[in-house]
Amino acid sequence: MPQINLVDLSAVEGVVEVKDLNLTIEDGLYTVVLGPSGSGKTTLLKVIAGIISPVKGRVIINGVDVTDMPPEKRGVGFFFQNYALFPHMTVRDNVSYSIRLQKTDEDLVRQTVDEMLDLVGLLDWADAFPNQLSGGMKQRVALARALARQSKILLLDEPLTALDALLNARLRSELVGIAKKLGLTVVHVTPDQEEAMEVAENIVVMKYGRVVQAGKEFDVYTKPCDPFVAYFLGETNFLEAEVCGEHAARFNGKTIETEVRLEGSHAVLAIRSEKIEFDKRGVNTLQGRVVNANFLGSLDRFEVDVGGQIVTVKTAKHTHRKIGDLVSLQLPPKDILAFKDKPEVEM
Amino acid sequence: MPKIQTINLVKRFEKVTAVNRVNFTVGDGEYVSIVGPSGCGKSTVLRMLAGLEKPTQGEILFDGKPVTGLLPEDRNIGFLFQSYELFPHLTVGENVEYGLFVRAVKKADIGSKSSELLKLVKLLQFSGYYPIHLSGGMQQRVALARALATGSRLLLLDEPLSALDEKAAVMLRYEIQKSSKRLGLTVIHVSHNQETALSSSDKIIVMRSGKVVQSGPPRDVYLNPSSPYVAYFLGDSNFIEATVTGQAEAEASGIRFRLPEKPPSRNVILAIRPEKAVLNDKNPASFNAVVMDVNFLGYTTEYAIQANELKLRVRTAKHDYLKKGDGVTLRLPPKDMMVFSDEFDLSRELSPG
Amino acid sequence: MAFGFSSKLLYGFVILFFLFIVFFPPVYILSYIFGGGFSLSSDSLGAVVNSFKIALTVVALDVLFALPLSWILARKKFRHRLLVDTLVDMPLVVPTSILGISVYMFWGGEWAASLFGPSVHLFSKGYWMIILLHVVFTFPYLVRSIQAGLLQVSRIHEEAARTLGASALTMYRTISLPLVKKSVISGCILAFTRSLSETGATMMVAGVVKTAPVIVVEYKNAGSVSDAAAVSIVLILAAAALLVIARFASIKTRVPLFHVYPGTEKFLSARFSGVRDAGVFFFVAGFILLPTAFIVLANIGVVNASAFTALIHNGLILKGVVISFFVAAIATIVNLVFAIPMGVIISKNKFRLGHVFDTLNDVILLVPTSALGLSLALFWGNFEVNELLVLVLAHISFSFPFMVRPVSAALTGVNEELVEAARTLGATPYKSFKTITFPLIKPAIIAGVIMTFMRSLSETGATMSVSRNIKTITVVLVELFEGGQVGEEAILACILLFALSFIFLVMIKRSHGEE
Repeated sequence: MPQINLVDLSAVEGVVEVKDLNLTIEDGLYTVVLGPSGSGKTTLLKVIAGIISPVKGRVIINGVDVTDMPPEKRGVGFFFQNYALFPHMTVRDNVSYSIRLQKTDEDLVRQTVDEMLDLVGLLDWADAFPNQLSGGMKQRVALARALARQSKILLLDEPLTALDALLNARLRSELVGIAKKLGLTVVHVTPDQEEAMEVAENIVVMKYGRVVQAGKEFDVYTKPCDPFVAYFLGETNFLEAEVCGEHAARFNGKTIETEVRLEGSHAVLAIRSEKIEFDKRGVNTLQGRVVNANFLGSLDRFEVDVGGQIVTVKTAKHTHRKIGDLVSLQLPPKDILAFKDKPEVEM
Repeated sequence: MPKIQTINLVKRFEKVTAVNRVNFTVGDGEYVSIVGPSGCGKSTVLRMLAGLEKPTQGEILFDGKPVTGLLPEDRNIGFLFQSYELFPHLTVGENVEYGLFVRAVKKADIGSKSSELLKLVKLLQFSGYYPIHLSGGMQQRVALARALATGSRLLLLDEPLSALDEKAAVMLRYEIQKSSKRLGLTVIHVSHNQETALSSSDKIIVMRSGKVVQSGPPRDVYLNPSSPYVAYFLGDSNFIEATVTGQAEAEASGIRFRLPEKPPSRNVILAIRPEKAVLNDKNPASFNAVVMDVNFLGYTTEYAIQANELKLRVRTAKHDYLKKGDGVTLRLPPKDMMVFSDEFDLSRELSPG
Repeated sequence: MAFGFSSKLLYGFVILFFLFIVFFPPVYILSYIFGGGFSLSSDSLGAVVNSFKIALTVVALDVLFALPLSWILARKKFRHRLLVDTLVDMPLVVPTSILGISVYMFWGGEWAASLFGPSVHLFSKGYWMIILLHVVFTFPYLVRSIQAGLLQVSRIHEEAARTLGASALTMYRTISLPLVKKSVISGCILAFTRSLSETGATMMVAGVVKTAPVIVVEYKNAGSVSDAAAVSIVLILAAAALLVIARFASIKTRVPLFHVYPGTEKFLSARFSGVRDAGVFFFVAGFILLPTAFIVLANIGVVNASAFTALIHNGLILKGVVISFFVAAIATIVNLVFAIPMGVIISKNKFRLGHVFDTLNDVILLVPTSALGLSLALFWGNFEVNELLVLVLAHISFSFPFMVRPVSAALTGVNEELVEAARTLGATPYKSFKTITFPLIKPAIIAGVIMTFMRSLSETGATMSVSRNIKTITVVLVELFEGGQVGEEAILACILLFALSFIFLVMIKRSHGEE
């Protein structure tokens, strides 16, 4: 049974809007809501939590319509992007806050909290104040605090954004591990597509307050329904071409064969940079000159000038190519997607 | 003569030594990245180069001449901050002109220089706007134009991409790289993101806890890290603690690994990058393993593989469509194996900060 | 996130209280234009002009030295910074009548003659001594205001300017100063209205010069109510006009950047900074701190057993102290109760009225306290209400903003997300206020309580215009001074009150430090 349902939802927070949104968040899975800043993803999260009241529409959690329920009654764990740790309370008091509100037995409180602190590895810092902690530690306190209530739903507002890259990468697997261990339904908001790809089971892509595509991570990546999704997830090349057959289009003087069916007179062919191969024999080969080469560690990334348009290629195979080289690029037909337009991108 | 040189640079704040005897050189026209986790001292080093922080000890030389006493306004540098705060009370155009304005450059000359730079960053039409109307990426580009307007040959960047959306950050990263090459600038770029550092630089300097751990061209440092920490920090690595069993052989958890050369000690730490391990190739050196988890990352897929007690992450762009529970064979090619002696304490190397 | 019906009732009550007790009195006097006749004699006009000239001069002097001092306190680290910071605030808490005596002793006293020869008098009573006095207790307002503004200006802006080639002075005047424009102006407004309003201490040092608040009291005591009302009205209207102009200026105008003379400004930044710092400290020490503390420094010998005995037997002084503390305590408690909801209304912009009440609170500061006292006396006089009660109402009225300001500022400073976090963790709106918001604004409440108490204690003008018969300690001091009868007990009382002020000040600083 789907755990969170959003029906015809519209909400506003400052200048950010969410419009006529319909979404289902599956029970027990790790869902990432991905989108650029201002796309409404944090607003969405706050509406689920009850921090913001929607202008229109309903929020249903576990079959119960909670739209008019205040946040304290919804029983959902929330993690704030800037942690929002109570500065006048110790780590222990922060984490135990939700439990103490219910006036439970002191010893039971202590035990539960210690377990939680142990889970995030901060038991030694239980009596410290937030201003004595590093960014990574604050993040873990905020997480423990959100989990302490033992709700089955966890909402994370950009939980890794404020951390430096190394810590961010390490904590990704920790987050997923905790979610799996506790059997949680997680909604994780982020603008970082690489982070999303690593942690998500389901992905929801948002833009300008609307859901552009939602589904299993693999499906959204390999079968984007909108050029924006192809643009925002990973790196994609968009080639404007003239359709000349059901499976053929002309680009830069060459005929490109596609597996997908083409319609109309004009199409935008899209292919991900990691799918293009260097110097491989076969159909769809384009000639170009390397204008930029970047070493990315496990990959090399090249910008190739093909008849005036820059095509980016990523390859893990070791290659000696450098700036100025003439190269031949092969576009496998099975990896070519087709759209009507290029994505609208802000400069 | 190097454009910039630091000699035994030290900075102490009360009880903390943020920078602990840092030595490096930067050549004319070089793009150098200083990279490390937060708190490693990289920003402090940059700020000392700019004159925004006074060194506790040590020297800084520009073109062979010591600058340690010079105020920031006299060092003729361009500086970009992480929080791209343009002067909110001035328009975009006035922001870009500021450096020339404070040097009392003639009005006519100022106008043409600022237009030239705004054209370079493709924001000429925003000249009359106030910063508050621009997005983060646009503001940072204005900041770049502003820093370059004074004609300084040295550009210092303090995590300029960290506050930006990923796509804007990547775009700006390449723009800075191209502009600086075109203008022949010397650039020092501080970042906590190792991919940024690897992609743009001629030279990379890796720091940790106030010290320089390794420096060199990105490819060299990536392929030949001098310590497990560097192998872990740049890209990613699997680590195996193994015992030497032969001339060029070591064993861990019942599996034999061929080493690229004679090992430095009886016990070694082996490291191999996830993208270098080879799955399912028919080679006698391959050993049996089981797929424990599959994580699709888009441009590649990461498999969690277990062989006896060893847990390894393997990445491959080939979507072999392996499933959890599948049996596979795995090979770690010696030429891609990094070997470290037991002088390193693995848990210390991998601990944060 | 609504509170519910009962809270709407609470806010309604608070708003009514505010309008009736706090806002109505100043308004009442304005209605005299239409009522009991409006006559403005040339003496009255002269007094008003004097007050304005003095206030403008005082503010100009304050700004001149507050700019560099606030910079030093906000940006520079030096050994005794906390001490200087605390001392600069002293004139804010010490009752102005005591300051009056102290200033007079310092600038007009005999010690200069004893040091430099019999015919040396530094200053005598009159125009310039009023200015020297007013500078003392208005200066801290400007320093605080500008310092707070500077602390908000991101250092990144200043560092960016330096890396772009600006010397420290150039950076300050082209970047920092324009960005604290609002703080400078609001500090000026506070200082200006404070100077306009001051009565008791001014009486001591004015000599034959008349300022408007002083003349209001004189008229009232002489029975010329309409003359007193006329002056009050002119004062209020003129001050309101200035406020509007200043607010308008702060929004619409841009601080011009002028031309940069790099060489000169560089020289001034480097060479001159030592001279500048020394000059500022000399001013602060010589014109602010010494005059403030002089009464204690010069009379430390008074602290002896016989003086204490005399003090205890001095009925006049003791009664004055009791009345002062009583009135101040009531005003503080009442204001505390109502200031917290009012602070919520302002900071959270409840019912979209936040801005309205913020401005209304500022308007109250504009009204000279003698005019306020007069207004209340006239209104309640119609109903034959007990004078002491009227006095208490007057004190509640003018000291209310001193409680509301720190509370609303602190509430605005409480990160909204902290309250949201508490709510998601299961706290009801009431619980989240109790466990999160309230503890975080406690330092501000402490500061507000102390400031309100001391402000009430310090007041003379309102007290004098309400009643001739009720003599708070500050009124007693003024009368003793004018009669040339400031004896040992009086000085001792001043010293003790001074010490109390100092203790309160330290309490405020410490509670802020714990944040």
